[in-house]
Amino acid sequence: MRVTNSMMSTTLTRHLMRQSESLYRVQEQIATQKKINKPSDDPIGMRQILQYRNKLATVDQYMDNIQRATTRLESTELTLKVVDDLVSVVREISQQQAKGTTQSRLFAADQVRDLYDQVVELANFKNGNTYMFSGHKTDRAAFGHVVEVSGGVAGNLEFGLAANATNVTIEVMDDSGAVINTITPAGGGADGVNSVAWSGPVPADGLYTFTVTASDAAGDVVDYATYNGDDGSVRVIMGENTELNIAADGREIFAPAGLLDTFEIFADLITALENDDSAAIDNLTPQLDSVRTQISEFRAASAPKLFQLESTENFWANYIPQLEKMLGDTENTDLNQAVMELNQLDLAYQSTLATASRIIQPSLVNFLK
Amino acid sequence: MTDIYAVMSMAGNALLTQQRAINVTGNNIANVNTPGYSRQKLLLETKIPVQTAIGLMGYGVEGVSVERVYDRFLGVQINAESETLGRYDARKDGLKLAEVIFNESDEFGLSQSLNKFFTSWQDLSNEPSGYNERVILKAQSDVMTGTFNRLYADLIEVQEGLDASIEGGVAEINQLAQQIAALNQKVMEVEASGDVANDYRDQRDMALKDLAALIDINSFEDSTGRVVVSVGTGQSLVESNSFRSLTTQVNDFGLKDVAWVDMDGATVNITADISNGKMAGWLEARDVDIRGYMRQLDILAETLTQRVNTLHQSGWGLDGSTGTDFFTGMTTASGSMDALLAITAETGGTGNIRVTLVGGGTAGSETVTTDPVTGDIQIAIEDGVSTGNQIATALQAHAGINSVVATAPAAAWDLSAGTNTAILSGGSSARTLQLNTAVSNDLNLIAASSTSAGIPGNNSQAIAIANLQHALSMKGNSITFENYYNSLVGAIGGDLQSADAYFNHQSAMVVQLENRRESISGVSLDEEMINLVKFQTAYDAAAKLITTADELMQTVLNMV
Repeated sequence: MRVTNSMMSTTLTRHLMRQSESLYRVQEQIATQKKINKPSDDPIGMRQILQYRNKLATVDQYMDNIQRATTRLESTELTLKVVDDLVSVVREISQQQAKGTTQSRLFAADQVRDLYDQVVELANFKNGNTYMFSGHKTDRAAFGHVVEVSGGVAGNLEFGLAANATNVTIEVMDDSGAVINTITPAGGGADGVNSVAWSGPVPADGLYTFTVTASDAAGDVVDYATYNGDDGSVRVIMGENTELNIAADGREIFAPAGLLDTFEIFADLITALENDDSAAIDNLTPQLDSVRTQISEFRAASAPKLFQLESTENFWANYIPQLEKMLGDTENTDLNQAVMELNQLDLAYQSTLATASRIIQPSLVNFLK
Repeated sequence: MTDIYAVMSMAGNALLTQQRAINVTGNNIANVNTPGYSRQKLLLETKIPVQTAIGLMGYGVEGVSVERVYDRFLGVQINAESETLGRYDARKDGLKLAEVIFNESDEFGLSQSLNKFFTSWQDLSNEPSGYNERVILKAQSDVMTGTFNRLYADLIEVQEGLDASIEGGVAEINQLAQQIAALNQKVMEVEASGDVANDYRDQRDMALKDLAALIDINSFEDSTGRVVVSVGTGQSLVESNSFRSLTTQVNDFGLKDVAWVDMDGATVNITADISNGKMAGWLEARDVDIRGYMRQLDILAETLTQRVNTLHQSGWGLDGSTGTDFFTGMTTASGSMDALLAITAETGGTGNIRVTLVGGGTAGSETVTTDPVTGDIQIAIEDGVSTGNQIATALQAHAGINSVVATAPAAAWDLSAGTNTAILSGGSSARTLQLNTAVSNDLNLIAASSTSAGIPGNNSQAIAIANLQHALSMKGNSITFENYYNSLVGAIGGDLQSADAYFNHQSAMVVQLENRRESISGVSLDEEMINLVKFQTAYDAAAKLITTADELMQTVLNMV
């Protein structure tokens, strides 16, 4: 075959360019520590990398969700433990006062009032800006005297009474605490939960608190807080289409349907202590035991949820390193291999350069005199 | 008869011929690096012998002609392969620009912002009444829609860049056509007198090769040595010493088509007939590849909007609002064909679909087909028999078409009259996708609750929307949004990888052919040096012959 000078030089240039390109690629892999730097480097690998990255970010979010739910359940547990302690203190008082004097019972009644306030406060526990035991009505306290005006219509005013009362006065207040409406139900109030329709002018939409003053011929009647929330529960995303339901209905803890209403028992006890009613006090002690059992049962029901959260979190925590390994295997440069390749390419490149310099220089011209 | 003068004359001829040969060698050496130059050689022949008493006596040498060493068939083959090389080269360059846009390897792309969009909904589900979570969701939504918009705008920019290349290519083609026509003239002039126009032919071959790299041509040499070049479906580009030119014209997509200009200045659109050369590569990248990517982005934006909006509309915002769209920016595409057919809308917002009527169908059962990449719709009708109503009914049945109204229901469609193509434009969802401004102005409108009564603590709607991340919503409900996009990125990489592989293969082939051409026609300095020495020695010898003849002459004179 006839070989001309330009054939020699174009072929040399072409091969040198090709080798430089390979060198550049290996060098890029080593410098970036990644073997896939653009989609065309490895289209399938690129797709997998994106998928792994999405999965990793999503799992991070799951872990975040789970941690928040765990915090919530743990603070619920802590709150209810304190509630349990407080109820047990009330039970002690009730038991002691079974043999108490009129004077000591009046003093004890004040104590129970304080404890009642504390338990209500715990039932209205706030996690950040949201009430934990109000179901979906996270913007209002779970237990208390609250009435909602919505769409220009006022709801019923609900409150509990420890005994029948002939005179009931309800004073509705606005945010600043000023009384804006006073309602006096015609028939007074009955023992248990009362629901009184709004009368008088309806204020702007919003939540209004009210106070209840009730009395009968014998004297004052103790009122107690009712539930303001709904039966909504909190759903937490633990994984792909896997959600955990966490109960947020305060009634399930403090006044389960068909069982005892913690706050009513408290109110009954205060009434009994104030009225020096030994029989009633005797009767309430076992009921306070039942209240404790109710709360314990709720706490027990939460335990499996905590376990479920923990095991799911562990699963994800173990899954992340696996994902990262798969991502690394697909994306990262195998340094040993890359360096070895670099050495080989370097050798090839240098020998090409060496031969090039030998072949390209001489021609017959150099040898003619 | 032979005499000393004959020896003298023969030696003189030899001197002249060897000198000419040195001249040709010199020209070869001088052009060793000239691209497209074919080495030349002086064709030597013995002169017509002289009749003498002892028979025919040789009468020396003469240079007949200067020939170039050239393989005509190889030239044709190189031109044909250069066309294909040009096509892959141009397509590869176009796709490289697209790849840069979709480069997700640096972790800032649509894949990630889609993911963040959904995880932000999870965050909101953890705190359905939270203001911070809403602010973050808004920000992530803005990032995602912004990324959609940017990708789309960047793809349009790549299309425009390719448009500029096509225009530049047309200018280059016109210049080459003009050059070839001028060289035709020169070749003809030189060769009319019986000479061979070696250097002009070399230049013309180069120009033809450059032209072939740009566009697929048909060329042949006529009896007078002039090449005839045609493009497209036989539109003449160069004939004798005159040439026609190409031009560009704006098509329905707002991009440039290539057209041929005839003698009267009328244009013939030859875009669809360009099948090779860089022009074909640019057109392919612009009209098939990039357009396909844009369409897939449109479909993604469109489906995402539909799914999120459906759920969001049935949820409740913190302020008790419901029925709110989360995303806006969807527009439906529409277009009309002549006065007979008004395609009022295409389903959804994936626009720039071409609807074309072609012959070969049966009236009443017209077949509708869809291009899987571009979404273009083609309907085969029975020419002159299928009525507007039948066509409308067939089109209406297609999933991509929302509604078709035949403005002349009973009229039969004649394919030869009017235009048979309509572009449904206006629906570029990925470019116009945005967060509903009402929502971004009032974050309480974000619907996290599934019931009115559940406000503010209910998070079911936020969970439902977050779960869309894993819903099989795309490609006939077979893959998720994220995977659809990730596959798109993979597909772009794959397209480029294969275009690159074709290019490398093709360029290896062209290099091999060029080496063969070079092997035949190229200048070898070693060879030229040998020739130089050879001719110089011959020259020296011829000079010696003259000296000898002169001495003979002296001897004769001295005898007198």
